[in-house]
Amino acid sequence: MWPRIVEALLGAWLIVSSFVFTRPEATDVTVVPLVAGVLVLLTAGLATKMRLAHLFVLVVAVGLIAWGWARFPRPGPAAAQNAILVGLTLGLVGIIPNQASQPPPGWRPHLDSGD
Amino acid sequence: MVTVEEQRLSPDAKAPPFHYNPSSIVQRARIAMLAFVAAAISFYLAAYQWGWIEGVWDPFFGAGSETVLTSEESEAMHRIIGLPDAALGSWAYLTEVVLAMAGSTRRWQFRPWLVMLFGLDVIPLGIVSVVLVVLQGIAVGAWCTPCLVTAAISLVLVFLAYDEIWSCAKYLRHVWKRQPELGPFWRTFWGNPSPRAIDVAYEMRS
Repeated sequence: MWPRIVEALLGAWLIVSSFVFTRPEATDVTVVPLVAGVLVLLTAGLATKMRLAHLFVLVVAVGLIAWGWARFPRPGPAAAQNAILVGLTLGLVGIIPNQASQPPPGWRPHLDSGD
Repeated sequence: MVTVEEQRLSPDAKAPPFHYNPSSIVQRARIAMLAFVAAAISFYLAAYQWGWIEGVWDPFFGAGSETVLTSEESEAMHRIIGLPDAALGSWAYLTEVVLAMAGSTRRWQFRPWLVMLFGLDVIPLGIVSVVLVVLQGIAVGAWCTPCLVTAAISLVLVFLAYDEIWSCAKYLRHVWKRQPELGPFWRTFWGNPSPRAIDVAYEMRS
């Protein structure tokens, strides 16, 4: 379950960062990370109950990377670079299954222990 | 007489042709620790590129590191990828930490997709990163000790990781030879084993 915890922490950071890297002339600098952070938090919570729900984090990750990369002339401001870096990290963690430390269900009946 | 319990698969098995388990926690933890050191070094360099720190410690090339990190080539990378190249490098080493530690102690057989993704991350990308560091040094005409240290770590990681990937590839080859059909092979690759894949796993027991 550790990948979901990491995702939740990154989601919380996105929400916090939306109030840290503000730009008065661009409201999306606040809105995009805020919405992405809420979506990541919700998905991380839902994924503890629903198998494969964590893959939705990949959609959010791609959106964040695309926004951070294309929104401003590069190299962009801190908000854009934060979005790219957090998006990349979410993409990494989002592919890890909930019970990654356990063998997949199809293999478990063939193991000589509960592991 | 062999009991049913003895016939089952051990979660911590040797992976032929090796006489140890390349997916054991100890094997993978040393890879993760080394990759973490490289990630930390790269993040330190990124901190300089972001302007968070005023200089870079370099015991051999003096201001060489700063010359490399502020070079036109490095700035061009920043414009292309939207992040300092050292930050991307730090993330790349972080992927090696995460992919090294994810999965069970028999993942070379149970989760081939994870081991192959780890292999793609460590071996081709590791070699490419070493080539880039060397080319950048030649193009800029200056060298950066922390960059060379991370490049050296990449090469050590290739050496440490190849055994698990080799075992996984060998297992997949056996599965394919036993049942050369895409569907069962595909499911086995994603951790949902076909009956023939389970047979192969039993046969490969050491």
